[in-house]
Amino acid sequence: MKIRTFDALVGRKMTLETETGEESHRFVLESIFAGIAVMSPADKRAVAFARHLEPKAPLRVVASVDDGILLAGVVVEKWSDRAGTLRIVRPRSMSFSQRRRTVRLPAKLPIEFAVVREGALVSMQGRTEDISIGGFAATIDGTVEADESVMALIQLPNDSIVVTAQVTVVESLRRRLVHARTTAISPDDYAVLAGALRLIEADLERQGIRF
Amino acid sequence: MGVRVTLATEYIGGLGFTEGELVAESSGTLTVSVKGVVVMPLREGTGVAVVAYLDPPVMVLGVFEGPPDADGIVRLRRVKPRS
Repeated sequence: MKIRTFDALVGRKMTLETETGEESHRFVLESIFAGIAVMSPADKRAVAFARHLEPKAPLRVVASVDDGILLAGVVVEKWSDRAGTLRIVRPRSMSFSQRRRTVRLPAKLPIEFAVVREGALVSMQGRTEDISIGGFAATIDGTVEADESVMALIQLPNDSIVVTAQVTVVESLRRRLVHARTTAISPDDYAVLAGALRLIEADLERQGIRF
Repeated sequence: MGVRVTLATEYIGGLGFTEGELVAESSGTLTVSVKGVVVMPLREGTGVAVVAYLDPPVMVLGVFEGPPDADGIVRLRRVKPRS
């Protein structure tokens, strides 16, 4: 069943972020009652974020679903120190943005590789040229080979994720441009990446950049 | 099992590495004995790449099921590879 409503997200993790997108944190939607949604922070940074939110502060909720992203503006009702939960006013509707698995967004993000060389890990620094939910292209300051497995830490605009990936193409030895396909990503990081891609996509659209 | 492993995850803006030894593997769960000071956030749910120094080395991804116990034993749930 395709999820399109906020109520269907009970029990799921999602991102709450400021309107500017400068700060975002993960929460679990615990319950909804009488128009109020109760959210549990997923980690200590989310607790610190929620604790300082003023009543009626505007936020955006971003939830990753199987075939895209659900997005809605919400307002804070209050933080409860006793319960350790954030109460927000339940959004009446959410906008849905479909995303194909293969859409690649031009985005220059810091990336770090680690590859195994003669029984030890070698670290390389670089920058993505484009990124999608299934992989990325990046220029790096080292050398990798096609089919090689790498660990990659990708610094997204508001968070970072660790994935394992397989190098598919080494496009240019001089520029060290490599393409890689994500081979494994944790469920939490998948949701973080999906949310970040949505924000990058919206930002590119605002700038009128075609992709 | 005694296989040398390296765990890698985010640590202060970069990849942080912790050496360890694979103690057991069963039903998609890796049990690792970590050595020395653990310099990475071992939060439940954190993604971590694991290199097992077999011949050839194997790289998998897991998520921490919790912080290490008093003996430095940490359990990771292996993430299913993407098809």
